[in-house]
Amino acid sequence: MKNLLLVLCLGIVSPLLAQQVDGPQLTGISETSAWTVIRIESDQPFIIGGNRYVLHVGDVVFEHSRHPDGNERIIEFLVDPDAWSAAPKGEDAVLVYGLYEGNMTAQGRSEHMEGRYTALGPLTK
Amino acid sequence: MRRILFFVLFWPVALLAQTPDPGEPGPYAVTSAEYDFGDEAFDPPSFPEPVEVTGSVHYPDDLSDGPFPVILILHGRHSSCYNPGTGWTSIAWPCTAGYEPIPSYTGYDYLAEQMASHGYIVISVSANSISSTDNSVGDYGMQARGELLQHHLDLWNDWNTVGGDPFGTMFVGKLDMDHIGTLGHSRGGEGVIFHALYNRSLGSPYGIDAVLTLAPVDFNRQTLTGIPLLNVAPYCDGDVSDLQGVHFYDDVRYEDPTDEAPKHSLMLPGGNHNFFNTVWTPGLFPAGTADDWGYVDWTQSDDQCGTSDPGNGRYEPETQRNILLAYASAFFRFYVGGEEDFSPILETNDIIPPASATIAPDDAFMSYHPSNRKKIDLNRLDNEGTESTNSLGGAASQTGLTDYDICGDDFGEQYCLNLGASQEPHCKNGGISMLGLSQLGISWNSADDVYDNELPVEWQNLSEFEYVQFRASVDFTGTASALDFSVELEDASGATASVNTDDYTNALFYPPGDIGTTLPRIMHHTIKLPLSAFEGIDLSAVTHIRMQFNGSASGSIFVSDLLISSDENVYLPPVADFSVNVTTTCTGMVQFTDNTMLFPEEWLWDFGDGTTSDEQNPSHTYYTSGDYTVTLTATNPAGSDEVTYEALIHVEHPIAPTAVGDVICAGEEATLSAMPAGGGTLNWYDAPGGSLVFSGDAYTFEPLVSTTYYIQETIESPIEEVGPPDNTFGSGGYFNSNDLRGIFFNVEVPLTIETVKVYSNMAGNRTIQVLAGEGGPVVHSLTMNIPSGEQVIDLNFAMEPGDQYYIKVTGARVDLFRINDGSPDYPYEIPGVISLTGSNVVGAELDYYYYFFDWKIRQAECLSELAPVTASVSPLPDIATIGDVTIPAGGSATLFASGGVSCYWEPATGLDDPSSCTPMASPEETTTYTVTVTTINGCVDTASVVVTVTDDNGWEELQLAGIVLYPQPATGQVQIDGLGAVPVTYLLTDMQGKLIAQGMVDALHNSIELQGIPAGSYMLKLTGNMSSVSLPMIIQ
Repeated sequence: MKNLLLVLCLGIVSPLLAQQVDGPQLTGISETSAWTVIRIESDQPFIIGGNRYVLHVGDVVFEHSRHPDGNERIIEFLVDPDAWSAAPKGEDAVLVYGLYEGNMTAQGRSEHMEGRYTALGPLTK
Repeated sequence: MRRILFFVLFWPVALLAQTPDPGEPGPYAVTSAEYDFGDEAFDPPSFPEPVEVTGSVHYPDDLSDGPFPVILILHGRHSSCYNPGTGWTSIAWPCTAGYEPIPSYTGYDYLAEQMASHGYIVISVSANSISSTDNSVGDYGMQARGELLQHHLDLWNDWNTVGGDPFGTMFVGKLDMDHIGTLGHSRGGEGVIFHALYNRSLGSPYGIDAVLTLAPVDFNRQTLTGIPLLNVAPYCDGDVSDLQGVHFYDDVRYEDPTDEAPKHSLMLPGGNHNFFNTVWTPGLFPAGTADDWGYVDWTQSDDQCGTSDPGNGRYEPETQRNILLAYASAFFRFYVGGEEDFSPILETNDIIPPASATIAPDDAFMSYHPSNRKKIDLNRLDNEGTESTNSLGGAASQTGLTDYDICGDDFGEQYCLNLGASQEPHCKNGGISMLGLSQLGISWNSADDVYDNELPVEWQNLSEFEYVQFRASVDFTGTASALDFSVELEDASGATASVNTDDYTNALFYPPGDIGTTLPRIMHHTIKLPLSAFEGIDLSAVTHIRMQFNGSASGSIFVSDLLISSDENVYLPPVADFSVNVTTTCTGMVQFTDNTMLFPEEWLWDFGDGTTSDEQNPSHTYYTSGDYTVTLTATNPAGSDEVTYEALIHVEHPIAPTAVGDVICAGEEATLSAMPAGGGTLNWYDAPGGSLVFSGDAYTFEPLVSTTYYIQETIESPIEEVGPPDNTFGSGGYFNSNDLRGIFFNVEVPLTIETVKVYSNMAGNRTIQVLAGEGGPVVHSLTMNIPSGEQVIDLNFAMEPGDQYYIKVTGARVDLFRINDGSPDYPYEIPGVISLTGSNVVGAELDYYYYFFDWKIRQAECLSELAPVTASVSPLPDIATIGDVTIPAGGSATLFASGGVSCYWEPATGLDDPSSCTPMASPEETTTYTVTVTTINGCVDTASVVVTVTDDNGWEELQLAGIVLYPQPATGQVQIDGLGAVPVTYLLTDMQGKLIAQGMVDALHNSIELQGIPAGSYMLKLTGNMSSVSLPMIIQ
């Protein structure tokens, strides 16, 4: 049943693609044979540094990502289907530079930390 | 810094030690060169993409003094390309049209020039390709970084031995590949850790003497022992803002009791992440630069790290580079170059930064964990138990403290202040299930408050040591300012002496920064107090070491690593200890592990069953049930120590099988039999602990001599089942997206996973692995072809007790069925044996069941006591006979056979008593008699005697037919009865015809002396005038 729901939700998200972006925004969710790809675009380059961007969805964290074609204004999180299916429904997605387990929420709320914290809103799968 | 004036005015004289400045340029003029084999010249085995082989080298212009030690530098993750026209950056690799590579590897040229001027060959390596892809790789490209560095060293090894393009023979013999230091920045920091481990896994073809991690990440928490380490942690790092590199230091402190490599960690209050690299520093490169503190503090407003705050404590970029020049030089020149003058800087004996660092006295803080040969751990503070018992076994206690609690040591208290890894970098960082630093939180509000550690009597002599030291950090949540307190030592007479920490450290400062969520931070730094300063007490009998909190009215600190240390190696007798894998066993097999401290060199184990071993970690088998006391005596050149654990091992074998032996005669088959007492399998061994010769209930063989075997019954545990029996309990499907999924299980007793059931979508090879935790070491790995459909596959994975084992399929093909609908009902368990606890799907651990159904497991078998059983072999009779004889027709002769207790002659024809051993034979014709001799054990053998009947007249003349020799066998003398008055000649010859004696005999002189004639068979020939006769004779 969960898988069926996932397929239906993916269909709903697809129209989000190709919108004009202003700051990091979720712009698409697609599937390959191996991954569910969550695409986030921004009008500014993402930080390219030692740390890593992580995508929090509720209590679930997605850690692995890529910048397609080396484009630093796009980041795609690579999520395997089971992890994607397990992600809570309707929870806020939060993009954070750095994985700070246990204090993500506190860090995210700091007004000083806009550079590495972006609330993307509910991730409606 | 705002504190400069304070320290200039009040800095204790004791701290103003003078150490040579390592940051000054050296005597060599320096030349540099580049090499580039292309953007995709190397395929790291662990990486999905090819990478560039590009680097630079700085070296002394005059190479004639070579070979020179080597420094190898690896940059971190950064944009890989830039457009010179627009300034835009990209992380593609290779660079796309219009973009050029960003040469991050050249950003350390200032350091390379400095080190080369001191006689080092400094190589800096480009790793842009890894940066472009590593976020999608499981280990973030760390193994690939190690492989890339090793590839560069391989190239340099070639250039150092045979030469080659592009350097020709210029560097032949100029590099000392046995003395290499590595430096990695950011992701390169974790990369050099992986490289050192990779080089070691290859047999250490290159000598890595020192590893410096510069503002590193530590995503994977790999640990490196055995090589001196310096981690540099910039307080204002806005990129790796939880300062993960402190774990490289913290994680290895107590990992290996034989580790002789010291650890250092340098905290720089005004340093950020990027300014160590000139290519990443604004104003020094046209694109991609940043002050990374802005990643955290968008407005740069923090009062320590924010550059907009007028009182901030940030370094200028040049200052930051100066600091690295000074400390990296000290580190490499000490551990790679052997310049011991710099040890005070690294070992916190001189805490004033070198002048070349161009910073204030309180602007650099070092942690130093000495080699195990230079310290004893008074209190590691590594678990809750150390609140009451220290690491030496003495009492730990407190008086009056308002907080006294070990924290960070368990997942329920993984942060001491519950602020997270950015403000508590020593605690657990994100992404990997591994705790951080265990530390003791202390708060006080009275000068009478005390934290005390008692030294057991065997540890009270500190005269060989020079310091008491610990690490500490001010708890900014319970304190408003810098702190001070005293350390007091008490000796056996009750005399005390104390020293103020403020006289020897600046580490108890109030952590700066006000941004919150990242700053202030808890950072532990070493506080080192010379024992010589504790005047008036007997250092050979120190009974207590106390922290007396009388320097500040109140305060809170965190403490770690309380130890006694020395600048030189201290040779103390070992402290013996050991552990065992089991204490109760039905197999009798026990693995002993030496845990002796202080470098034992010899071991003597007394297992309590009359056997011993001198191995360090012996395996031993007890063959008899009972309780055994085990003693280990460990010895090193300074002395020895003994530890005994009474009744440590409880052996409870099943009773031995009932065995029946056999008694046979030589040459016969023996059949030994036994009956298992527990219905198990009987194994026959040639000795206790010897070779298996047979399995079964009855063993038939032909022994040459009496033989004893030892029979042991193996009682196999029954198959037990755990896990869902099949995949019908929920819905799911075949999973082939990746090889990252599996399930966790705990094992409580030794067992074997014999089979599991899987459902395969397509036939093909799969590699099934069990790991010690997700991402941990591989415990078992098995590759097999699994046909399509439901399959029961043999694993036969032997498992020792342990938690969080992780079983998965690794490799390109998974394609096995898993349940994903939330229907699993974890835990699947056999209480006390095994428990399958959940999947690794974060947030939905209990909703997924991966691949492996219907586990068939078997607990370890039991082994009975040994039952000895013997095949007794009796020898055959050693038959001696009279030999062949000749008699005249109508005559007779006395036959003779010996070697047993009874005889029987066949045929009976012509014999007076066939059952006599000395029958009279009077055959009418020549006859071959066979005598069967029987021993007292019933063993029989046969021999033949030919009695030849002759018509020789001489015989008649001599009337020798009636001649009788006696006794037979003869001893000393033989009598000849039946002779006449006419003398006859006798000749006594051996069986080869050699004459032994001769003479004349007749009726009156009828004895022959045999003294001195060896025992054996002989022929006695009697010769008359007309004829002769030969008679066999035996002399005993």
